[in-house]
Amino acid sequence: MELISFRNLTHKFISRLSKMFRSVIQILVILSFLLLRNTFCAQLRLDFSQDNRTYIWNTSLDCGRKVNQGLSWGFSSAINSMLIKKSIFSNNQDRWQDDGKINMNLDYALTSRLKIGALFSQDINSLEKRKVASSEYGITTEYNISGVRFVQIIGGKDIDRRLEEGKRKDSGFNHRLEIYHSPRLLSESVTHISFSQTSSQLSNIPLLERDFNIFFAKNFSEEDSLEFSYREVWSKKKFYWGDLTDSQINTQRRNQRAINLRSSTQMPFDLGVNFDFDFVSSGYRYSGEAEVYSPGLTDNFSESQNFILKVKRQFFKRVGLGSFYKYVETDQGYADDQKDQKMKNGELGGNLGIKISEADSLHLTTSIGVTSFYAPVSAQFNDRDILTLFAWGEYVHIFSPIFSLRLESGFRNFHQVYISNRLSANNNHNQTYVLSPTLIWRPHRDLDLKQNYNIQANYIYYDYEKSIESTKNRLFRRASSSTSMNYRIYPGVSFSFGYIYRYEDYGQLIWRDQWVQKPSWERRTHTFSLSMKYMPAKSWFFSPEYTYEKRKSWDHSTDRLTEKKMRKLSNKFYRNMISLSCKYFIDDRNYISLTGACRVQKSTLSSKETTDFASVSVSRIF
Amino acid sequence: MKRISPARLFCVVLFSLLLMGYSVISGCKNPFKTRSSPPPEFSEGTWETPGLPEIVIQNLFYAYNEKIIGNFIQCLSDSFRFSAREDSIDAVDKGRAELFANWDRSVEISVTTSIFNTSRQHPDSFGYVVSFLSTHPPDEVGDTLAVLSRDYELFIFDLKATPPETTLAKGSATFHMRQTSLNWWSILFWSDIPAESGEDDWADFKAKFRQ
Repeated sequence: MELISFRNLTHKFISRLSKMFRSVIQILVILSFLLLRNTFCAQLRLDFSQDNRTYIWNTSLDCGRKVNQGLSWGFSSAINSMLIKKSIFSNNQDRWQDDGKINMNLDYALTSRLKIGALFSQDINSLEKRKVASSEYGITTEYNISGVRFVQIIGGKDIDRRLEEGKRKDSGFNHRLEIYHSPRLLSESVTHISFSQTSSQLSNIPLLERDFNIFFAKNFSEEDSLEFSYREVWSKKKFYWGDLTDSQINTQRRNQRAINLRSSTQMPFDLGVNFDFDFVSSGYRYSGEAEVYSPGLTDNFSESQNFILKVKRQFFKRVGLGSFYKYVETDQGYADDQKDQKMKNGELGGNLGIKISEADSLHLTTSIGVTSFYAPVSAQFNDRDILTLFAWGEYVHIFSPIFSLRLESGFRNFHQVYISNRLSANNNHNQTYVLSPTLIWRPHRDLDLKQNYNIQANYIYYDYEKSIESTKNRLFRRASSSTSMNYRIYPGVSFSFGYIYRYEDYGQLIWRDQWVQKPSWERRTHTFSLSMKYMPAKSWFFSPEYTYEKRKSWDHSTDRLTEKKMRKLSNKFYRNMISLSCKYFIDDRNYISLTGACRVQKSTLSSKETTDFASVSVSRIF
Repeated sequence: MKRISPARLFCVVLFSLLLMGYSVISGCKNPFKTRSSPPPEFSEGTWETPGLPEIVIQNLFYAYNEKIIGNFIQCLSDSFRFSAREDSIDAVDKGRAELFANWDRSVEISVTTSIFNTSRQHPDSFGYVVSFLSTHPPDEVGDTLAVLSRDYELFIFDLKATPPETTLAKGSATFHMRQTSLNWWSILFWSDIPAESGEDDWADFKAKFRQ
């Protein structure tokens, strides 16, 4: 039975693969006829990866050629396939899903101002027996007059659906008009204006969309600049709702508007000031044919605006001071106003960078902000404020060119306040503290040593349960030590060794004039890794790696009678992983890479598991 | 005294006008003070420090069933993405290819807020319960990245219908998580597939609230 299933799967895979490659080969054959000595460029990319039950194939080919002064063509394709194999945990079957896109275009310049051409594109989406294919084709004209460029595409569009429950086809006339103009209004400025209109007169689900854009940028001086953009989109489209056999047609009308402003200037006293503003609004309205309007769709709109004001100044070329204020406001509205929501956020922050001496430097960043959510009266239970306080500091000391210290420290406070008594039981403080020193030592030009320590603590306590022994108040702590060593034996051979020790504990937090932890569990993890990088020749690269991880967990409890504290081993976990990467490369865009890994892990709570991973990538520029 | 060029003067004046104009129109928000709240009437809400990837799944489970958006948001990473690859083909079929596109953190929060609010405000007409099945593939937990797959069942109740209707959405959710130093574990990427090809899943349920 299993043999038959495996044979079927193999047959299915080979059949699909051969179909896919047949298409690519056919394309390459056509191209080979067209491929003369004139300018030709192509990029081929093949990727395969396997992770547990999921297999993914991605193939793409882009090419184009300028046949002579006036004639050129282009071709691009991308095919993505995914196989999810049957899981032993559920009754589902193997699933294949493919999606692909092919674009072809041919252009011929009749004069320096007029260009004509043809294009064809096809999108395919398939999942098992369901398949949706849409194709667009048409002739293009491009005309330039007085700096204004007109592009027009006239053609057709077909959407073919083959689903298990039946077939459905839409086809019709397709028209697209694009107008571009870049007038020179002021010196040292850039202006772009564009308008496009797309109309697809499909038999059942027509689409009409208009898009208008303005962009203006000007540099007044090296420090002063202004950038402004405005976009307005309007569309009306019909779409299906419900099953294929019992589908309804609804109409969606969409309005979108966006305004962006970026400005920077140098004020008196050498103050650099930036002001950015964004406004986005969108509105959707739905309607259906009589008695087929779907109640699940409701008219809605959303608006958001934000600005950020930044001020910065440098003192004595050693101290850099910056500050910002950020304001965000959003408004979401539905026809059913009970889902409406408004949000306002204000945040104030700053950063300071000091170069104390040649060997010492300090960077500090801090911010404080409040985000408030407001709902209509009927939904006010959800009203809440969130206060966020963040501080981060980094101090670097260079003892000598080969030895340095970096000390990082941070604090984050997150205070959530529900305004109504329905949810105010969830009001809590969530505070995290971090301290992390790192030593970097390079005793020899081929040897790097790095030692990092990290201590973290996370306190969570609930506003209305601080005075009682609540299990919701908790403390999570973590400490780790990470050691790494890189040694380059020869120019093409290097070894890396790493060791990480991590301690974590977790428990209830009790307030007795100060916070006290009642441990619930603790965990200790050791991770060793050893890897090698080997380059036997200029274009070849091999990297084997071995990782071993051991983790032990203990549960803490207190005997009710004797009140004796007990610590019991609850779990032991082991993991071994070996991997190998090979790469043959000419440059960043021409290479073949293979990676394989095998992982074996076992714990006292689960049986031994073996997992394999593999990936193959090919990239070639012709 | 340094002479101010006309271009600079124009820029400073324009800048000040923009700032003043915006401040007058919009106003600002105090970044230091939160509103006060009365003592709780009920004790609801379950959330634990996400010091382990599976705790994020627990937090998500409780936040979804208890319908507490603040706890749900804390499960999501800043660069969160949601994908429903198999459902996307249905969206393409119906002429709404954009339905599952660009599903980021803000879309997820907006959709989930809408689901929670609808369910809390109309408990007599709409409700749901999600549960994760106990058997699942082994978790892939690394130092800072983890992949956890969970099969789930989502019961959706339409109590307005006569007789009341219950829809079962079954599928498998895969959560790719990331650990950051100050935010512990959070979901970076959530992909969803139905238990049977073409059947209802969690993504279909969520998509109904994406307008």
